[in-house]
Amino acid sequence: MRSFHGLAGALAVVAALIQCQVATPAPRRDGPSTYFSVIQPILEQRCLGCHGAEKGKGGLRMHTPLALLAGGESGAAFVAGDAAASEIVRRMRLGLDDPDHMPPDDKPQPSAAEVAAIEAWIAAGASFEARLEGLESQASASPAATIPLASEAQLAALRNELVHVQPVARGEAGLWIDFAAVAARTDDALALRLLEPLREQTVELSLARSRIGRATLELLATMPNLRRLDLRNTQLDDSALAALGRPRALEELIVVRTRVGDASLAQLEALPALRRLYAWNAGLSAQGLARLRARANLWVDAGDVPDAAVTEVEAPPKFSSDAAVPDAPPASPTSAAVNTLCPVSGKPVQALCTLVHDGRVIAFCCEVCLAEFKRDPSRFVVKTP
Amino acid sequence: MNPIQQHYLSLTRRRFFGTAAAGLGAGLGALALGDVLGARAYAQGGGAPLGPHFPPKAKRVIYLHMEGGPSHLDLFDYKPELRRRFNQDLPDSIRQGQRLTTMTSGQTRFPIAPSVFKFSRYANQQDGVWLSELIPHTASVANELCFVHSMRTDAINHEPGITFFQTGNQQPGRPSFGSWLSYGLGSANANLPTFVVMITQGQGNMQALAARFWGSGFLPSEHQGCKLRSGSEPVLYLKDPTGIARTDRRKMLDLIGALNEKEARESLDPEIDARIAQAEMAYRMQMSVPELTDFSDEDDETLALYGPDVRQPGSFAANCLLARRLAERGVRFIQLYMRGWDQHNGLPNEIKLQTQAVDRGQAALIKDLRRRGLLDETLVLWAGEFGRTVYSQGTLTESNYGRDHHPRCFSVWCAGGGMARGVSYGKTDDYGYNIVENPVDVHDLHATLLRVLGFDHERLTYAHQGRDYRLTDVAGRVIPELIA
Repeated sequence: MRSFHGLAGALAVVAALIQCQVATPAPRRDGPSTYFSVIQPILEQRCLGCHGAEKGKGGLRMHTPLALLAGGESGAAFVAGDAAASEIVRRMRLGLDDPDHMPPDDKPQPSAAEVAAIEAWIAAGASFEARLEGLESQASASPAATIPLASEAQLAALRNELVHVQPVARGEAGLWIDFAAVAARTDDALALRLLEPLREQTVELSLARSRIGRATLELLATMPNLRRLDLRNTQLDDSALAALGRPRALEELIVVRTRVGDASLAQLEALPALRRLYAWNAGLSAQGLARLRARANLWVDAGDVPDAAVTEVEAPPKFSSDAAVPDAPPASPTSAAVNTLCPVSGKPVQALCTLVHDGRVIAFCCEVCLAEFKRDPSRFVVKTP
Repeated sequence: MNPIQQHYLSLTRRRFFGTAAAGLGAGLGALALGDVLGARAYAQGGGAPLGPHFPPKAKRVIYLHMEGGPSHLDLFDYKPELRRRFNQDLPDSIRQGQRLTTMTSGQTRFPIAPSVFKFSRYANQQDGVWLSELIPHTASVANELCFVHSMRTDAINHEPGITFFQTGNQQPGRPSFGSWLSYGLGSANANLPTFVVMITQGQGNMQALAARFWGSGFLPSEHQGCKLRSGSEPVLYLKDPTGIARTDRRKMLDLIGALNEKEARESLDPEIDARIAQAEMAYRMQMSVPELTDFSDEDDETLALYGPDVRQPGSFAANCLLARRLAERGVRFIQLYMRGWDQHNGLPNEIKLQTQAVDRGQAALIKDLRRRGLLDETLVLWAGEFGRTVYSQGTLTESNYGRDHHPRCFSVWCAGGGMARGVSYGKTDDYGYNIVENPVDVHDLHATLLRVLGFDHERLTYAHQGRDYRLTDVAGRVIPELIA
């Protein structure tokens, strides 16, 4: 089966090349969509600091497919099927010295492979649902790909102490380690013994509610891939946090209900990758929080997120029955596809290869046809049985 | 993995846990095989969970199930036009031959009952969302909520409706959502069950809740939900009887465990392994549950956030706080059932009591998770099994009406866990009767939730009776717009 799919995929690539002169990656039948597995992680790492849920510079937000489709002040973010005409590609391809270059020259730049992945995704139709072969490997040139596997014996040592350890995803060497089950008896001795061999593999770590101190933070300081660290509900103070130093990959830090205060401000500001800081009921003053919030790319939650504002209030309801009764029955769409034959090839459709167009779910025989349809729906007629 | 190999591995693992020093050699002998072979990924099988297919946005779920079918028209789906259609008949062009329950199919008229409740618009990440005066606390976190106004289901009665939402199938017998996650993700805290269920008694008409709603179906039974009772003793018989020391209990379990292992070796019945695992879990829960349910380490600020009900065990507020405590202890799937939304008659009064019971607690849960840094990785889902009709069941007056079951459209909301923040998705017609934009099936919702949990819903499968089963059966479409 596998080789048959491989062959079919290869043929599809050839067909697509002939059709549109673009190196369309071959569709796959399993796995997450390329957008979610490849494209969105790149955007998260490189773009969302300024174009995300919290900030939308230039009117552009890229944190959800809808936001991405909406574009910004410069118009559409991309043109599906045409990488060269896409604004985000143009910006990334500009020279670093060009004021329009994105990301700005003082920010971490995407790798060549990452730019290529975004281009290939747009060229293939910029589908949020399609799965494209060949893109995974290009984009996984991230640092996480170079982490060596921990030995099963090292993992067993944690499990033996009822400490949770699990790869961050299937096939990855990076680990999520959580001391929740044994927090009350987790001290420096236990944490050091279990974590010392996993310095490189530790990516997400929770020591919440534990009794660890400075010694454990000294070890964490040497973890090159530590991305998320939860120190909630511990006795840690500024002098202990100082031992953490500046782990270069640390993006999320939770110091909720600790004694970390303003003496740690300079250190927190200097954490190079820090994007989110949770500091409710820590020792940080209002001025300290304001200073941190002024730092670019850093979201600080100190338990003071305002309630959603009321923007409009309805008058107390009054009833009448003077509205005209509508005569045209509204369409009642369903989530099932409206067609059984592919509008592009005329072949029977795949139930799981669909997109929504004009409020209808339309099915296709393959991802290539789906991308083709998406490029210009007006060229095709969807026959409903 | 070969089942026999798995069997022996599970035995060595058990010895390994029971007597760490003595078991070390044997345990590692089997486990280190992957290193010798130069593995490129961590070993799977042998009791280890599958793990997510790709990096998850959410690590756990808190599912607030509203048993009975809350009225979308009085809570979330704002239809001001209906105010001018009071007591008009529901047009056939809207009903479109929709089947009704026997509770209203005999009615001679189907008079439109606009909501008596006032709505206000709350700012979110889009152009705001209109919400009812019944839920002011929930509305205060509108900027976190992802509303689906175009939910639909195939079932029109509670039993199949709840079963469909929990298991992806209207007929009983399939594993519930929580069991699938337990199977797929495994436990993150070996001292607590992976899947915990808590029930709050409602204010109105209540339907029976069967334990199979949190059953594991054909999955191994250690994946079934563990129900915590409301009241002073969350787990019955958890305390050792007077005169029995904890060491005595240990000896007893070792002896029974040895007998069970002997039987498991001979019969190769996986349910015996589940039995051993559950006995060991109960032993560990003797220590972990009293600590879990003791709120004395919560500060006054937190208790005040959940409101006065939080001091009453079993209330929805208390269960919300317990849900947060379970979440921070690593429990994967926490399900709260709130009974009593089945408002066939006297809806305006009953829904007031019902929303008073849930509103403050559920809003507090979201705020509390958020400020502790847990909301990003905890997915909260609020959903009933269906919505309620726009026409009145029974007599309609300006201040009173009832509503029957309505599966064609209703509203659910999610928060946190990588779902889109502060958005509304899908639209219903002016009557709140049919979907006009972006319908979402139960399978679509399941597929989307599994996706943020790191799973491709088509590949989270279990072989049973000759075929691979999944939570989404043979359907389901991930809805990208719902994902952050």
